[in-house]
Amino acid sequence: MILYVLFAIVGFVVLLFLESFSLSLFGFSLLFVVFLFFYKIIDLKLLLIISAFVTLFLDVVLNIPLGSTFLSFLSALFFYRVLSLFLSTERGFFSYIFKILAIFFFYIASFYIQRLFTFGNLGYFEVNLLISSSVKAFFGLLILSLLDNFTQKLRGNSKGNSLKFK
Amino acid sequence: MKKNSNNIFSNEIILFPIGLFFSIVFLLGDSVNAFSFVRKGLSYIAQPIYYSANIAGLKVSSYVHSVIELDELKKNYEGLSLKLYETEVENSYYAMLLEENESLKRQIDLSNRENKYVLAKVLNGSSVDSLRIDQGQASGISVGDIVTIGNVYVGVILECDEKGSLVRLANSKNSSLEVILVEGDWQSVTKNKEIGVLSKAVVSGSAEGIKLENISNNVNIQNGSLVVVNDSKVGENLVLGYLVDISTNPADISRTGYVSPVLDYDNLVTVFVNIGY
Repeated sequence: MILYVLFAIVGFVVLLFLESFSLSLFGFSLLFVVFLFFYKIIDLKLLLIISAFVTLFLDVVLNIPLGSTFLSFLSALFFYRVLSLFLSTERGFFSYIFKILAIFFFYIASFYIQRLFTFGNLGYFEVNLLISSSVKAFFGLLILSLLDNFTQKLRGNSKGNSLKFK
Repeated sequence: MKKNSNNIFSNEIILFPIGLFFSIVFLLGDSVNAFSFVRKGLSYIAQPIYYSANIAGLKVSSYVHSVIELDELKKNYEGLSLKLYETEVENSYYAMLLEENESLKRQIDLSNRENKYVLAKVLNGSSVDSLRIDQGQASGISVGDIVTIGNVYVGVILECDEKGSLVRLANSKNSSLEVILVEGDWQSVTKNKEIGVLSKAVVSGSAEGIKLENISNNVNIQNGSLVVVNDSKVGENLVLGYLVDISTNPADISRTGYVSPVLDYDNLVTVFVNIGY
């Protein structure tokens, strides 16, 4: 139990550090990509609780309205869930397209939600936002693919979804 | 009725509205500062982590930008190097002008104005007892003319062609001049001014430097006395340098010493050739 608590604390610190680092370096949010990776790997209830907890910290350090990152996260995840109604989000070409769309949607939602709750309006449409969100979404997909490949190597062929550390 | 477990909204659909509700509660509560205590509490934990990560991110970002802009930095560097060279050339030109100006001032103040002089620039040479100048027969210079700066003796023209000349310096082994030893500063020695002669002597070049011989043993001569050329071959009242290392043996008939030149022959730039002496 103590080990789990220690893991959780270290994981939280590392996650917050990496998120802050990637935000200041590229303006790229690693958090959503990580949560998208864990979606369907861990229980959704647990994932939402962890994401709500971590995003609250992130909102505080970024000095943005509390809950805005979680709302963006929730919206993008719901969007991803809706997309999965039509085609498989697990494998195939469209799974990548859906992931890109979900990450792209997260950035767009994040921008407009923050704007709405900070200034009280949605502002105006910006092409730069679309371009930067597209680039970030593509970059996010690369990271997601790397994580997928990494876990596939760790997985045993007969063990299904369970992780096997050799 | 059997529950359809494949329905994606069956179990998870309820989680999204709950999450939405909590996020709306936080957003609305934060807009009226209801959660300021949460902000303060969380910031104590998260702010140090965020600060460290932010600083690290900015440093890496700075390096990345430097790498991206390497080509531009290289161009800037090359441009600045070029400007630096241009400035150095310009500075050298002004330094030359300044040196020439000072030499001309000294020449006007201290030289014999009755004579006619040709301004010449010293060309680099490897010899220690001679130097080349950029003026020759075309400027009226001939072998035997005296090279000076103001009232200071530099040497005598040894060879001469159309565009340049070779000057034999006082430290040359083939140079031998009659001199007088006087007291005072070298700037006070001019053509029309009386100077108190302490002794006559002869200077000649040697491997050790400009050697001074035949100094009278009767007078009280000390190191630091001014050595002035007073030779019928080259002229009068031309300062050579200061007496150093004078011999102290009272049994000798005459004393010897060396001359420390007023001019540094290695750094000469502008000289004046007295033509038609």
